[in-house]
Amino acid sequence: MQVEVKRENEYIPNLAVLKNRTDMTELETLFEFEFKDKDLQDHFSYKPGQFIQLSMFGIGEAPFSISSTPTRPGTIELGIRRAGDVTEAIHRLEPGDVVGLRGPYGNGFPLEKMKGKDILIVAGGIGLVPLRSVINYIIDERDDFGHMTLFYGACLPEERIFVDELENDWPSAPDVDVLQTVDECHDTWMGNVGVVTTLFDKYEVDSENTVALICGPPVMYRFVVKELLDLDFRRDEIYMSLERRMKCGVGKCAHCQVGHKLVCKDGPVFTYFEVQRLQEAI
Amino acid sequence: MVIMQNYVIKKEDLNKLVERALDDYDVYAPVQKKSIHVYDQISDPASMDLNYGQTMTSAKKLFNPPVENMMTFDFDKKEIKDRLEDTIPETPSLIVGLHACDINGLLFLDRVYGGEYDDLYYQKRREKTTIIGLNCLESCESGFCRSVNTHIVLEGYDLFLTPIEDERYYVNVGSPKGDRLITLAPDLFEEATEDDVDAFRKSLQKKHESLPVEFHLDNLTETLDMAWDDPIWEEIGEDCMNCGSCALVCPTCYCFDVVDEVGLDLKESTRKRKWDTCLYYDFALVAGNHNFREEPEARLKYRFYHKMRGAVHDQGIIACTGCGRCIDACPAGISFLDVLAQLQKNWASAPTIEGGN
Repeated sequence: MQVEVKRENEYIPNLAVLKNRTDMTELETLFEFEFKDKDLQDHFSYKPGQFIQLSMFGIGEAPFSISSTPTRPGTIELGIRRAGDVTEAIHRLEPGDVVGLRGPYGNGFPLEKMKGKDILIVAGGIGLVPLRSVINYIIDERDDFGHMTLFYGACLPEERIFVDELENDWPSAPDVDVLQTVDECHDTWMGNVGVVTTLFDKYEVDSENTVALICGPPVMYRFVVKELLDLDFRRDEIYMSLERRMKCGVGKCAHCQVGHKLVCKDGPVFTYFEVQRLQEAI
Repeated sequence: MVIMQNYVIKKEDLNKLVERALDDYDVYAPVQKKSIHVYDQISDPASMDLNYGQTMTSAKKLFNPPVENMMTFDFDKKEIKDRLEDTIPETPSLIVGLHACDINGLLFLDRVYGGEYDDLYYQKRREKTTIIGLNCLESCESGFCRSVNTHIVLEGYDLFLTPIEDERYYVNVGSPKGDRLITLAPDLFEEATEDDVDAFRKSLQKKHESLPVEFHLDNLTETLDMAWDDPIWEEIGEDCMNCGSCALVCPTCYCFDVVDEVGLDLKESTRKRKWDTCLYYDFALVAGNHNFREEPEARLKYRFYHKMRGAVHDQGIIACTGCGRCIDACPAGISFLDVLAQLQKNWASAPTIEGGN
């Protein structure tokens, strides 16, 4: 259950301490935060697919999808790529350093609607960050969901994130299939080579009673959606998480507006049916 | 039974009211500066000029300033200090002479800054501000308020003045804050008689006869749905400099950017928000330098769609008050009104509508 933590001024972040950091690739690191306020830390909850606004004081604030799952209370995990000023500064953090966090914001994945259904997850690159939350959620609440399949694509083998879970934890979970692919590889890679859509040729996906969740670079969506539509997935059962530059996170600054939707409040998760009607969405 | 009490006040007595209000309020009013009018703080009622067409910038600056401090972070103590109380003046404000278009602009901002999440910076200022509105009986140069139905206000003001015969104003009271103003100077107000109500009606008649309807809203949403690929966007996109002037003067444009600024002593940083506009290149830029609106015309088009189509979905009304400031402010001479009118013309004459069956 999500506990509402109501604050007087929504824009003021809560202080949080970096507990641990794990480098995943040259560019991506998993950061684990804990709120300084113990009461908040104990009651903080969220839905997979929601995001947090992280403040690096003096540098700025930016939105990040939550990588951890509410089924495993403890630190709040954010998988972050070094891509700009704020993320560069985050990557310089050491355990014990203090940042600001506020949220969670956004709608998250439609867990209730997914119950009892098979789940196909298609992730590209760091698109696995929000999807890891839902993957671990499903594994922890295994009886509520049907079969889960994960297609994961990265440019290079060494650019894959959450490798340990990809290679070990998830494939060994009950009723879960994990397929990986890379665009380019060296001699060490024994798996599939090609963009993520090539996995559709290697694995039989049954769209009957299946919900698809997608997250990846903007270019990926159209190609993946085409595969899904060819497999007769319903447009409102294809969910995708959109990326925008949110400044406020609460529907005020309009930076994340797409058509008439606000990614921060109406999203970041949208059905393909919604997205196809929004100009400039994908 | 008295359902609603309305009053009249002599035009010359309005200055006396403002004079008395100066003790309790920071007073803002239209003031002439060279050839233009702006809302400015006044200390002398004689400096206000209510005989104005349009102010250059809207009254939103008084509720949502161009730059404001949100919070400060102390690097040594690792403390966040909310600057909400510092940024809102202790003295309540009184704005005199807001036209219907600007009051409607505030009603739109009320929706944006309210809702599921409160924006206290805006709301606290709004609560602490009393508004004396002023009815326009004649159209201003670039305004098209009647075309977008914002020449009328039903709420959003505390007092609303309509010029009537004999150099007087008919006074509608819109809120308890308006009542408070009247009790500040009860000798200046007279209860409206039936003759005054007649005079008020005549003024409204005059207004309806003089304000033109230049454009029809009724099929605007369909027009915009059809017009996404209209060549007009490329045409005006070539002229548009993406300078953002139109958005900055607009009473309903509310987009903001948030930046952290570090103090010179490096001991603290201040988080500020600043007006921003979707016309700027980096507005829809995301990590990895992907820009969802790379081309100038894409950003120009987005502004039209956000205001006239998206806002209808989002807030139930268009985000345009027909004040015409964007037309006056555009250095490229692009007229918001002309673009909408042209789109409607293109749509109405599209072969699928007229020729096909």
